[in-house]
Amino acid sequence: MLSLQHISKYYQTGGNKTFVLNDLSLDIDQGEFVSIMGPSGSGKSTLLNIIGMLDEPTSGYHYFMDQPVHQLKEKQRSALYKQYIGFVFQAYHLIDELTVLENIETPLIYQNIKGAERKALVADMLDRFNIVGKKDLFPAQLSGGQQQLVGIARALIGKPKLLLADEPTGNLNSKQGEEIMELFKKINKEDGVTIIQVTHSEKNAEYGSRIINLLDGRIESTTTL
Amino acid sequence: MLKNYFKTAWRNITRNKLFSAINITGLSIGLGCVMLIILYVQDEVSFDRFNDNGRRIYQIVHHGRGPEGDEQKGSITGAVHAAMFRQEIPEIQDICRVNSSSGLVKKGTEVISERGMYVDDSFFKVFTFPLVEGNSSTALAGPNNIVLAESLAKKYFGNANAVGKTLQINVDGKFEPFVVTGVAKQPPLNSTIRFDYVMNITRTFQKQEWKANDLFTTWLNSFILLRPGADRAAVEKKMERVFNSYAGKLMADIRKQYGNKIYIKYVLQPYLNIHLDKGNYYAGNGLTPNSKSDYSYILGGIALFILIIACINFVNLTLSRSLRRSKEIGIRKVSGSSRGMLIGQFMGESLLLTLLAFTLALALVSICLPFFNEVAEKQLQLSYLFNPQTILLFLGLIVLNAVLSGFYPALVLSGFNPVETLYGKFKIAGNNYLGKALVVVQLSIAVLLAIGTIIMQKQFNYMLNKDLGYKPDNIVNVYMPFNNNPGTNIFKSELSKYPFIKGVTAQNTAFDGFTGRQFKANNKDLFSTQFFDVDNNFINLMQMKLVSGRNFSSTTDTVSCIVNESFVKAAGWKGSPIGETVTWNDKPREVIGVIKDFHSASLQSTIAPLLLDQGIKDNNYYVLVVKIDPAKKAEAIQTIQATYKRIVPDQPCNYSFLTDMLADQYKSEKRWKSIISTASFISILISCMGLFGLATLSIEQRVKEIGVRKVLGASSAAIVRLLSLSYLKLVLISLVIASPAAWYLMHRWLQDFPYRIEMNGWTIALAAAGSILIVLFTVGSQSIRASMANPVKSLRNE
Repeated sequence: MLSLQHISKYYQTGGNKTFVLNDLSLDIDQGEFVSIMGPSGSGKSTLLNIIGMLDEPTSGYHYFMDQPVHQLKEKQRSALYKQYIGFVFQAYHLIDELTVLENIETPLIYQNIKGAERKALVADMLDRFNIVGKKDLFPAQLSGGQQQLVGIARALIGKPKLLLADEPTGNLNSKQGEEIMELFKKINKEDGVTIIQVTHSEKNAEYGSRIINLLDGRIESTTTL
Repeated sequence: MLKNYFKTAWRNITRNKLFSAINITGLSIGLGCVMLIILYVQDEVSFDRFNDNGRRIYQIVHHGRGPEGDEQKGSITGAVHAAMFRQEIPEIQDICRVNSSSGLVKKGTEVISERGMYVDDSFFKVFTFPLVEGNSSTALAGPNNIVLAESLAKKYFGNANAVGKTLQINVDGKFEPFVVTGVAKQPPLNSTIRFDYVMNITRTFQKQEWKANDLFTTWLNSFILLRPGADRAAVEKKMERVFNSYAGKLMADIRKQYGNKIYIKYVLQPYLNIHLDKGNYYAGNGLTPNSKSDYSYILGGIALFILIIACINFVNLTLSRSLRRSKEIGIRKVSGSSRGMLIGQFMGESLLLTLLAFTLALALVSICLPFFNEVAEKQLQLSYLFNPQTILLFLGLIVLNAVLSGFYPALVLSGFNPVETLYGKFKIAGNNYLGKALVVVQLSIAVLLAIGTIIMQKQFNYMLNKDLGYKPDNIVNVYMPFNNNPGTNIFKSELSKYPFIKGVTAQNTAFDGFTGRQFKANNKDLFSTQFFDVDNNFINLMQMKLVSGRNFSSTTDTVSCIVNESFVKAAGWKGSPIGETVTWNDKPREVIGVIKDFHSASLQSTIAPLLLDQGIKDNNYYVLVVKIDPAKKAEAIQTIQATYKRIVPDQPCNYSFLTDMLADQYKSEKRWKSIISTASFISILISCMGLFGLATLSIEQRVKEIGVRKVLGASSAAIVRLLSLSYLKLVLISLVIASPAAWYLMHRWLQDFPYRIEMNGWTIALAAAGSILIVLFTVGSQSIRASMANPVKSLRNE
């Protein structure tokens, strides 16, 4: 599904190059559930952002769905990720001024989907996540676990092929975290959505089918479960 | 998508009450000012445009030079000018001469003053004043026909048909019956010619035959209607030729006597230009005084200033708030929004806010209109706003305002990188020079206006309180009737019986009346010289000061005169002027006294050479000057009115306090003072609201920094100093920018006043201290609150 070849990302500070990612290569297939682990500063989030096309590598080749992302223009990249990728964040990042329903609906608006169809899609999603009763609440009125649920629902509403999650359980207690992980597993199995998550937790990482350990911008080890 | 934008916008507005309030209030005040000015300007430029023949109507005006080569212009002509030109120039289709009348109308036993005009019977053909009753082509045919305006017809005859009824109108001092032959639609307010009733003018011409002499006697306004396609320049050329052929010989005689500099020529002033003409033709004879287009520009400039200040608030607050919204922007981008869509969203928000402000502005305007009308001397109505042209203009204004205040923030905000905003790396650009520059612009405008206000106020007080050379307090001018003046002696003897009348004297005309005369003194012609006929009690009652010589010894002394110091200087007498001779009309008068220069005119003009003499006859005096006891003002006025009614039953008693009349001379200064001070108040208010919002936001963003500093041992005072200092710097920069500009502008303004205050550093210092205090107060409250906060709270949540 995606292939990164010799990806580097560095910042020029004075005469030195500070590498965030250093000549990293990685292939991920359709239907995988990959956990990326590593200490702070090892390049996890940067890697995730490059995969999500929110960030650009300094050098290297990046293919996604057989398209050479490194050759695409900003607009084409954005069209690509709009269609295929959903994002989940540690801090949920819901729009405070919108209700649960409206937050979930937002990506559809940008995909120019008609109102009636949007309503149906959002209703399905609410139903599936068991949050129908909360649809008119604002993010501030929800618990962290519930907010993240909404965040995931929003990421999935556009039927992405790839879900990118940056420490999705980082702000949650262990029980809430477990629920989110179960949900990921289910999405991965039942809907065939490829998932790449960054996590600090061994336990959560084990929900995946492959664990990639990063250190200083390189892949230190890969464990297939 | 639009619905989603609208929803976010609406919720953003309602959640951030402080910022929405600052933005909406500021913008609505700014927009309200612009609306008022649009109303004003629209009224100004629409003057007289309702006339169907407007483009073909001209006023006959004259340009010329006086005996000293001084430029002279005027719009007053004689009766023969227009008639002469029409006879000789075929391009002139019609003429219409206009003059004011006494305007006195009798209703029962009451005499009421109305706006009455004498006009030619072509009046309704030349100008567009449609008749609702009567036949416009014959209505003014007879000498005792009268056409009423709708309002007057209603006032005197109610809803009944007025045509055929009779009104008693005062003509040449007597009441005569006039037959109503028509009722005209009410003349609009934006008309140079406005009337309550019109009568045929030809009855007022004593002689109809054309004597060349008559070309130099002028008292009325002449309008002509050119034939379609006629060329104005060609007609003017012909007018010059015609005038010279009729008056050439007399002109030559005049030049021989007064010098070759004298010259006169008649030209045409387009009727539609009259209201805003810069030509300074004196508008007399009951015509609406013309206005300066400068006023429109200045007012427009001020309104624009205020709107800019409000827009700056919008830009600054939106940008400062962007930190809070950066997350939303990031999410929207990650969810697939393009930059263009985000720009659209933010523009939509500013449009929504502008619309809200606009609604509020309409309400504000409707509340403020009466006050504005008073200041602007207009009778504008809110309903004027609702014509297609104005609505279009306002739509444009709304869009312009939304773009002006929304586009830049939209551009900046939509450019945020989602990775930075969503991963907490985002910081608003450190120095925010643009924001600071905008604040400096705001403060500079406010300071400029504030300095202007202070200087105008000082000059105004100076003019009102300067020693005029006499005591105007408690002096009442009572105006004698123009026709059949009974004289002032009878009033003097009647009024002096009362203890609250402190003294009575007489004057040929009040100080605001024009009394020029050409004197000969010391073998010189003194041209621009003023004179007043006064009685021998005048100098004492007015408490004027004789520098040398004596007052008139008796009321019958008509061979002596008293001159002022400027007269002595102009005459150039060596030694004592007492005993010198001043001559006019070949009658010599002996100078018996010199009076200290006094200000009879406003302080905007220098004191002219002036001569006081005594009237030959008692009915030469048209103003009775009464000094009253201020403790019994009401009683005194009542007594004066009752006495007047007894002696002159046919006339309403017109009187005015001299102090009011003098203050009236500064009406325009007073008006500008109130406009500038209101503008400066508003601009300071809006700027401060913006600063308050900015301070609140920037402190919110620095809450962590403040916490760290406090933990490290900074005192509350040090924190307040730290937070306020940055704003203080901006004030100082604004002062540096605004002070020289204000100094220059006010210096120029003061040049129009020969008697003026000295500008000094204190004015600037006062404005500086004031603005620093206001800004510190605005910012300080927020700084103090922040400095008192417990650092544990601000540092805990991370």
